[in-house]
Amino acid sequence: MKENVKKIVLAAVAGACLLTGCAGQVAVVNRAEWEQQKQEIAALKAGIGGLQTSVEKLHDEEMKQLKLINADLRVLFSDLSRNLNVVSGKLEENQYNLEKLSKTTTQLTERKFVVRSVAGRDSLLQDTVVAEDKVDVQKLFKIAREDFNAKDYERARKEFEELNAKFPDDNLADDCRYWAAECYYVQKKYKEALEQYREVVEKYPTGDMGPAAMFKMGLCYKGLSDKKNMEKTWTDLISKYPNSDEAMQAKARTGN
Amino acid sequence: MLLLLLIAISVIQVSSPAEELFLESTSSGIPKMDIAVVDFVRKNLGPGSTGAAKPHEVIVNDLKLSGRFNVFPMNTLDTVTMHKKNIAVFIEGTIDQSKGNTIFECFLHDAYSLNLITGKRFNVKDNAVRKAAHLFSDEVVYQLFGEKGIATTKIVCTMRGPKGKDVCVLDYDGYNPVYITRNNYINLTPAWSPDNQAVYYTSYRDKTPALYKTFIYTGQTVRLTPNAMLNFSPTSNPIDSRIAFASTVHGNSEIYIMEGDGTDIARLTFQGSIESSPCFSPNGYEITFTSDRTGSPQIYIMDSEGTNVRRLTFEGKYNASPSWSPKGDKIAYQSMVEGVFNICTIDIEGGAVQQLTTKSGNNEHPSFSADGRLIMFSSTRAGASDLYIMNADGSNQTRITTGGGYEFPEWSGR
Amino acid sequence: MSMPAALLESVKRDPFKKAVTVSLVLHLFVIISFTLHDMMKPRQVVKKAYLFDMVNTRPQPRRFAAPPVAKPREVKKQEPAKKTVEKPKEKAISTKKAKKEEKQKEEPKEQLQDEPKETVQEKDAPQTLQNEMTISQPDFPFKYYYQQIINAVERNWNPPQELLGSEMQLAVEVKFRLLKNGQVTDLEISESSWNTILDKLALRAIEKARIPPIPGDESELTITYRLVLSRN
Repeated sequence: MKENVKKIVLAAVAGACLLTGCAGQVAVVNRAEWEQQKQEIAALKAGIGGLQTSVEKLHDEEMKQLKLINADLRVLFSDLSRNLNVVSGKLEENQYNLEKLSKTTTQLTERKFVVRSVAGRDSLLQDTVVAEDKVDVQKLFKIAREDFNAKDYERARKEFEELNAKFPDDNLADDCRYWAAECYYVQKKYKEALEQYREVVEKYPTGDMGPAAMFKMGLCYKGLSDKKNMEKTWTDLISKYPNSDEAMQAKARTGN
Repeated sequence: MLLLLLIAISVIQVSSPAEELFLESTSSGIPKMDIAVVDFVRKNLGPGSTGAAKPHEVIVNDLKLSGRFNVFPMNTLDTVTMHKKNIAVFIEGTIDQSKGNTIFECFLHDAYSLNLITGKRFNVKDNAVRKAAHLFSDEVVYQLFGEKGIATTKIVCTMRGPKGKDVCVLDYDGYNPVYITRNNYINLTPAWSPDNQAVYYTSYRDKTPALYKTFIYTGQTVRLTPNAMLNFSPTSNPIDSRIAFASTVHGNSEIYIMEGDGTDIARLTFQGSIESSPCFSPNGYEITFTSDRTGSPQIYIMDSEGTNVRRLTFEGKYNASPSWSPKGDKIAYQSMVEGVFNICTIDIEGGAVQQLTTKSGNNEHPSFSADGRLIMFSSTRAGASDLYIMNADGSNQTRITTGGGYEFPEWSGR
Repeated sequence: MSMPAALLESVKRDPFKKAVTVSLVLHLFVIISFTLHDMMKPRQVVKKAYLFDMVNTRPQPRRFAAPPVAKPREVKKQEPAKKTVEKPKEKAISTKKAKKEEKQKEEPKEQLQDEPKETVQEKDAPQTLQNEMTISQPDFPFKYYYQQIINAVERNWNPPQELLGSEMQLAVEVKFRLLKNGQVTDLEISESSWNTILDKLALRAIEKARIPPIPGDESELTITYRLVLSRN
């Protein structure tokens, strides 16, 4: 009986939540309020018009002050962009925490799958396979990176390429391709590296690795002493990803 | 809606306490080897010099610090006890100090068959006994683990002097300090050159904080940065000897890279924030550094061209002074926890964080040993700042200096 | 009488309140229907959630796993030496497979091998294998050396559990030659696990192992190593 009471209370709470949600929507559509707001806006507009005329009288004085204000704005803007960075950092942290949470939940579900597949082997096998792939990519990527760190570049490259071929739709697919290119680049095999970087840029244009791969393409051209293509790649990079760190790098290197 | 409610309720029912049964953690301790060290037998009882170190004591200390052994010191060779304790190998030897020099022989045996594994004979001056014993400790580690030990490595750190701070080099166990600078100015953030022949550091000796390179055996000193701004925390690339460092040439602190002789300076970071304390990866291709571009100092990685910058740490409000493990899989750093710094390590892929120190006081500037098994750091847990060694999993934290004033330790390569 | 009337009036006048009442009625209906629906068969739901077989299966792997985990560690320390010292003397250099059969013939005294066979009746429980190393040299005297090889290899042996899929256990056997300085050569898979990733990880574990130099006069050793991934 207690169970039932609990459930009813729970259902009531959930119902209340949903109810307020619906009511909120209705409030948005409330026409009368909208009309009123419209009127208010019109009044505001009129007020602004009045202000404008008075402002125009002060135009000359303003022009003098404008330069000062401009300077202030710049400071403000840099402050703002800094704050933006802070906020994006917070966002990253949140994202990280979310990922961590989802990781633990997948772990939990995996455990459940394991237990169930032990219990009855037929059930839920499909789900375990999916979960399995997901974990494999990360672990195998880690192993390949370990090889890269241990200067075993040829082996690491093969592992990255294999991973990229095996899991082309995974989050890490562009990373794998990029790191395969890095393996060539570190060994100063610029031609091969160039092809791989190009693949990253072309296949995963919206991925995180785009700017880095493009910048590295320029460095490959530099290694091949092809100055023209180097500059072209970097100007492309600057126009394509103007806000990336790599664009700044490219600007600094080309002297612009 | 019904579906939603159903889902909500089924979730609540599934997460019953039975689930917790399966959340077991597996501890992965590195298996240690049991080794006995028998006090060396003194030959030629005579007017032997008494000031010299006892080699077996040095060896016992080395083996204990190495994190690879459970060490059982013994007064006399006692095979019965060894068998009882299941000890695998033992060290014994002789020492002769009658002729001015110290002559000692040491032997490593299999404890079951009593067969000899390796033996060495040293004939050294009294002040070199420690070094000879370190050499044998390394040989023991090599014979038993196939990997050279770190007992002959050194530490560079700063030491509080009468007026400033000086750079000095110590044996890894805290003995035999040698001063690299003695100039009554402030000298900071020392780092080894890849060949362990020279030390890079920041010094105010010419009034402006510039980077210098001093060869530790000749004392020759070169100034590397000509600018008048603050240049600090140098780190050298283990492959091509280039130096990465932080500098305020362009206003706030950014990371720069230059050739080993100070030429060809290139800027690597372009954020308007403060970037500092770079450290090269063991393959010399990547750099880890501290940046506060998101408001709080965090650890980042980029490659040595300044590209592919990615954030590594997300936990904690203040993470700084990263140091790369020799295997390349981990980074140790200091993280502010409840107002004090503690040493943490983080996996580069996956980002699993492990906090290694919990003692009170600030624990700062971690640095890995060349075999990746140990971490050196400075700590104020006992009042003044001293150097400590611990295993890379945080166990066996051992104080190696006394007297205080030691900071910025960096461990040399082999 | 006046209250409901006034309420009705105000509801009629205000479209917002109208919407609220409609939604209220709808929600109430949904909630009531759901709770009724739930009350009809609450016991079945509860039963499903507990998954009794889950609880039953938990101790089973333990019964298999506990003895092998506890014993092989000790067995490893002493057994490999005994095995290689005593057995091969009788039959000189027998092939690897022959050796294995020998072991299985001789070892039934141990509880390890017996237990699973008894419990096989319950389920298709697999044989519980453990990591096992065999050195070709029959009377190699340095006992510590076995443990050091095992430590060096198993430090690198940490394959992801996910590779098991639906299996309880996978085993791969590799064979290699060890040079005087501890270097591994001629590394090959002698018995595949039929899981390519696991095979690769096994080769990797051996390759990356820092094996100490061979003590004594022996200049070379041939080693067979069976690496097992089992569900824990």
